[in-house]
Amino acid sequence: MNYNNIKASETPRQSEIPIEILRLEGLSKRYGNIQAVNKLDLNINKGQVYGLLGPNGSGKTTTLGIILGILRQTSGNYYWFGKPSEATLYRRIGSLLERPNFYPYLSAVNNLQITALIRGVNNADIESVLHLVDLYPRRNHKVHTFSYGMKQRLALASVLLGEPEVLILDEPTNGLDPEGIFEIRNIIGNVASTGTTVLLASHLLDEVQKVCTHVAILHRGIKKFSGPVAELLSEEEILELSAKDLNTLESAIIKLPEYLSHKINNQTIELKVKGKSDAAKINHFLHQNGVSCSHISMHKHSLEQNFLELLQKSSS
Amino acid sequence: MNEKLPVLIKIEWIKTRHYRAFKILSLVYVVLLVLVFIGAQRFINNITIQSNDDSFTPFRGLSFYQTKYIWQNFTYIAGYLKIIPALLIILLITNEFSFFTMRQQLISGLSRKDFLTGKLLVISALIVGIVILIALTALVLGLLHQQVGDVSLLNGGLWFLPLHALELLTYLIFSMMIAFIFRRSGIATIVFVLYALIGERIVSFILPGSIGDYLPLNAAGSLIPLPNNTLTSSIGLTFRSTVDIQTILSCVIYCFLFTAIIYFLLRWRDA
Repeated sequence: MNYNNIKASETPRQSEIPIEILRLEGLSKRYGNIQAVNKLDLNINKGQVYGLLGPNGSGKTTTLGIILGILRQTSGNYYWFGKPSEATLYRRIGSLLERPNFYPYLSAVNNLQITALIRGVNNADIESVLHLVDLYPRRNHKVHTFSYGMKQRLALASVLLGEPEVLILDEPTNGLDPEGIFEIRNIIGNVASTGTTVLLASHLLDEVQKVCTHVAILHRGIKKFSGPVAELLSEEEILELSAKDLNTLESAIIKLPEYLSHKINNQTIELKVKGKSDAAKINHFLHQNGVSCSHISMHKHSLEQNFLELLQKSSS
Repeated sequence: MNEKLPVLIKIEWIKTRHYRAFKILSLVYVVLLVLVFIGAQRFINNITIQSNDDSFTPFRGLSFYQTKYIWQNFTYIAGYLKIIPALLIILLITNEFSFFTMRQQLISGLSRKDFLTGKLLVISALIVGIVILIALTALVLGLLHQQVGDVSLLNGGLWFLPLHALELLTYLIFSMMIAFIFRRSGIATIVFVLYALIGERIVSFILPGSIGDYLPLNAAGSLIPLPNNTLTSSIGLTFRSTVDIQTILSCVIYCFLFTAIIYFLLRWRDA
């Protein structure tokens, strides 16, 4: 097994006919008066890299806990590979929930041996995954001597044992330094490029935007959106302008023939125009109107902005 | 199920063999047990009886290793040390909760039934080890102290060994249930020790008649009665020297009941 040397173009991202991997039907979980998950429906097909997005306490981990069989749902059902859940099905799924869970007094190899025995995986695979997460030199060291980042990498090694068909990762980059985050994202990206289905729970929008093909947004246990990430990313272009005199700039942009709307954000103006925006043309127009811009840039609405708008709408 | 057993044994072996508390408690248990078996005769040798002239003379003719009683003596004494393996079981179970390794194994594909089977295998292995240890020590010390005319060691009540195994099984499954209920090693240990030392006696006292004798730890503890010997008979005491079927049955029922309760907790409670 080598997830490092696979080119994305060599493997199909998704087959023509979608193969159902996971189906959630009206899944709910209640803790006393708190409705952690509320009638959640979701379909995940083979090859999708599905992001489960939501602020802390939105029900992401509870949802994962239910579909992994460690929490009991209050109502609703879920089906793995089209079948009601049973322990043996989980051997086809590699999961990392919340934090890396290991016996601290055992070595990395011993801990992985336990997972390998449960999954019916050959011991040779242990070496391979340890190389993959760069822990091979520390394989015989006890886990309590590991840093959090190393434990997280060991958890990923455990998840990858036996080339699972599905990966479930709950906040996999939590507590990691930038280098660790980059490494973990790289591994996830490489695994996903082999056609492995990935379900990634995160509150980091940037992470989801970078890694996922599909996304479901949860807020207070309710699904607010589900679909391709591209669908959530606005095609609308926004021009960011700034000048010495913001008032003059503001009165000038209103005169633009393609003007649609604008918003003042600190010392910059965010301008939306009709049709495709042309920064050079707008700069020329403003110059003719006696405004010289100190900054012009163009960007699209990020997932973060759309996510926050969605949450604001649902809160109101 | 049969093909799963070797896998479960391997998993539990990896978990326990590197666990320092397991090594320390096992060593303490073995050393204590052997020391008690060796030292018991010295203690008995200090027993004196008051003579008619008010002087104290050593009581002769009482041997801890007398082949007729050796199995009952050894298993009866070993019963006092069973709290050590019980504490070990509590530690091994509560570790799974404090390290969150039980939930990790469940999401890796281990069924709840297999998880419980693994723990029952650990208990069984401990019991087998303890019984073998008692048997070997009894054989060695029995042979060393055997005198002409003594009954054969193998005729001296070997059936006390399986009886002690049942005593341990009831006791250890009970401790496992406490660990599964309370999940935290500190709380589970305190609850278990308090119940074993005081709690059950209080409940026994409150319950009418002899019902208290059939409470789990009382029943397990009374499987092997206090051995009769020349000393007890000299002061006119006679204890039951037969197997009490009702006590055996209640222990067997408790074993099944506690296992069912643990399975129910595993099945219906969030991991």
